[in-house]
Amino acid sequence: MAVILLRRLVQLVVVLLVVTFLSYWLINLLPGDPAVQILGFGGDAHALAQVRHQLGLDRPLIVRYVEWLGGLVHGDLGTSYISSVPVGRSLAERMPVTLELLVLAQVLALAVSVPLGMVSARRAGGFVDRAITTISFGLLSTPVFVSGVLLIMIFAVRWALLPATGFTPLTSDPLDNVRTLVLPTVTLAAGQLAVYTRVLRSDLIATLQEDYIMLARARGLSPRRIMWRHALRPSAISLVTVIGLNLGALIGGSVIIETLFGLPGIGRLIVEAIFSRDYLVVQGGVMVVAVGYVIVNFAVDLLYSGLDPRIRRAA
Amino acid sequence: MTRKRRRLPMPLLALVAVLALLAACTGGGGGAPKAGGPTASEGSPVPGGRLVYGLAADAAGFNPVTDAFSAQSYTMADTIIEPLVDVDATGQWRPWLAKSLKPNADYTSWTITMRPGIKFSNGEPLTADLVRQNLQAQKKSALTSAVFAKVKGATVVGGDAVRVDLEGPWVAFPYTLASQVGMIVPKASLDNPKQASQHPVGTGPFTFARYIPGNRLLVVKNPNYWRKGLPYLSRVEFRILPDPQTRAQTLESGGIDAMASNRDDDILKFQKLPGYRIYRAAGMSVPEVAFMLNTGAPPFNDLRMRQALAYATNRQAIISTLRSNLTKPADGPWSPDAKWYVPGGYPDFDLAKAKALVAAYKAQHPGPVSITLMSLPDPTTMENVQLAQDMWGKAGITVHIKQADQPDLIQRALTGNYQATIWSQFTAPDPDGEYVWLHSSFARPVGQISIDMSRIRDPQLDAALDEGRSNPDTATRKKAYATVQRRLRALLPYIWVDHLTTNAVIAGPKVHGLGQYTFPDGAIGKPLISSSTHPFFDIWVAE
Repeated sequence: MAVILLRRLVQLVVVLLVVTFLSYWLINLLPGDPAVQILGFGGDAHALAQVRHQLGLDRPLIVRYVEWLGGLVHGDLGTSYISSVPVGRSLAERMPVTLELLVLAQVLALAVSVPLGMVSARRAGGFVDRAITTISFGLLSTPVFVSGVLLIMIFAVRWALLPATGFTPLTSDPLDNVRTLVLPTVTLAAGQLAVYTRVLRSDLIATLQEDYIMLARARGLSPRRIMWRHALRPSAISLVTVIGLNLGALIGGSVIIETLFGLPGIGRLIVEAIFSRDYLVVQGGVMVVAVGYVIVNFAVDLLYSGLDPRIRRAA
Repeated sequence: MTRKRRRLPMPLLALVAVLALLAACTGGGGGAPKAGGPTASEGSPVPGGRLVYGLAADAAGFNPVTDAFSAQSYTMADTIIEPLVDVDATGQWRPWLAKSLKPNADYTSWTITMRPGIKFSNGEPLTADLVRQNLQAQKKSALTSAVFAKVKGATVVGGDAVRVDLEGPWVAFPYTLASQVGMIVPKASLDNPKQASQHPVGTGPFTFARYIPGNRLLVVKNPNYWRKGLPYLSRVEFRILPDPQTRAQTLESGGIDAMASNRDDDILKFQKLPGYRIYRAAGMSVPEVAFMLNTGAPPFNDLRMRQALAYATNRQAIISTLRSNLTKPADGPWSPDAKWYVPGGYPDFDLAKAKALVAAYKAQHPGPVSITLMSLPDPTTMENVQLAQDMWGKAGITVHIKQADQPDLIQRALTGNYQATIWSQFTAPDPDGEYVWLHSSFARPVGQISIDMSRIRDPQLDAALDEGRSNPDTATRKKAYATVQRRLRALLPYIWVDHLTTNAVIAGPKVHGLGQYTFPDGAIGKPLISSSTHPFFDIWVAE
């Protein structure tokens, strides 16, 4: 286990170095820089040079990157060029919003997709399966900005049940926090649950053809017991893999969701930072996302052995 | 033409906001008519209550010395920090924090006398010396130093006044102080600009309570506000809601009480809903949408090509297609309801003339006439430029559309790395506010940073702009700015589209008093300042 952890740690460091350098390099390639953004149209050549010097933008890119790495080692992600707020503080303020949204969306997607996948696989090809398949494809092909606006129209404008936009932190008012996150969570979860349902259904159908399932049936075990005790666990490997890999898509989706519903999350922070050429904020945000991605997929790897004893034994 | 109507895109409005900063910073003496909106008496103000206000974007900091103020910045910061001067309903500047502003005989210096007894919310007194320090900080700031380029320095005189010495006559100087360069912060903010950027302190009707970047700003009533009996509201909460459609839905569902908008869709929708009030920009505040041409590089260094584009552009078709006929065609930087406006001389749509001009140009420059038109990448701006591509194509000009995001477009405009770009500008309360964009002293060759981004150079234009800046006589100034308009119509560095009167504030049924504010001397204020910002101390809420 220690070796695996060490190997993962090394991988994490390499991934971080590559991802942060590439993102730093790429955003520096974009025309326009923070000085232009700060001064707008009012900056003459002298003022632009002055601001660039103040921000250290007149130094080579590699020097700035190495300096940023040095700061990172000491827990300092730098200070935003635009707002002058420490990047670490900005990320810490935004992180709970995105994290809560992602966790709630995943929980909701799984809570709905697992039963649906099981029902669908149990009567594969039947009316219920076809209905679930149709709905899944409908959800999959509906972009979040469409489903989000639709949900707002129905639940906020027409029925006035939930707020259309805004966010209340969990610590301020837990009830209001849940209310503000219902529509964003459902919107984000909709696409995911369709994917999870499809993946689980497919694996369950294959598992239900296995000999040991036939044997269980022959022994007279109830279909429900067979499904929950014997079929679900080995069929969940693909699902768990997809959950891990889906993190990137979820973060991408959260950018739109956060904009649509006015949530102050990390996705929106990164997008705003890209448009204002706030290099250090982009850098910090990308690093957090990369770390999250690597950690989640590491957790997924660990889960494999829990789900399938054969993997555990092989390890 | 049956294409779906469209709103003006947010990024283009963001450009307007950035331009408005410098425009407002360089104003002159003028008169805009009252902005559109409800004017009937709304009953007696009711103290207390909370107003929730939706904005499209957050501010990039609240420090007027170091942070570029967009329209959203002004909306939020104005509740806390006040300027020395503001603009009244007639478009005339009036003292706000200042008690008076008086020029010397030749307008080369202005003496600003301060009101006595005003304190910041942190307890610091507002003194003449502090105003001097603020003005000096603005002069030193990389952000605003260009605005104060003609300011030599500031000196405290007589204990309660500051004399600002200028390098030449500047009759419209007070307008400059109605923008962020005239917003006064306490010594503590000058000493700690980073803190001031996130935690603003001022003399205003509200004080800072809480700020969650990208989400909301909460301000609460300043119990010691120097204007007794004001403000009416106990608190104002600004919510940042970037998506325009969901912002409108939030207003409709009651999640917010009022919002700033730039969409014709919103105007059309809320004017049909009972109880909602729409306050639209008017007069000098209205930005103009145009295609800015780089006159410093081919092919638009040739007047015939600029004329060809003007003749080939069917402004009314753009308005009916993209603006739901809510706006009016523009023929210059000032709208017909502004007192500076003079009509006539702008080329009307005439495809035959456009083709003839292109043919004449081709005769001297053999080969196809091909240009690159810059656009912001959002779909609605793209519709604007695609319409132009279609119109100009019919005149024989091949148009390649190139997308750039805002920082890229700003960089290109400043350095002249473009041929033509869609543009939105000209919101200064006084024509002198547009001096820096049009005067050849701010024009530089392509490759160098030029604040005169069209790089137009014309001695007659310069002389008229200088006359307008230095002559205090209103009739003479009017004559000078008539010349400016005529020269712009002759030289065509901008191909005008429309006056963007779709900038608006939309208020729900319980909001009262918006756009009805008064100056300390009782004068009526301008309902919407610079497109869609307004004060909050005069607003009250009642079911």
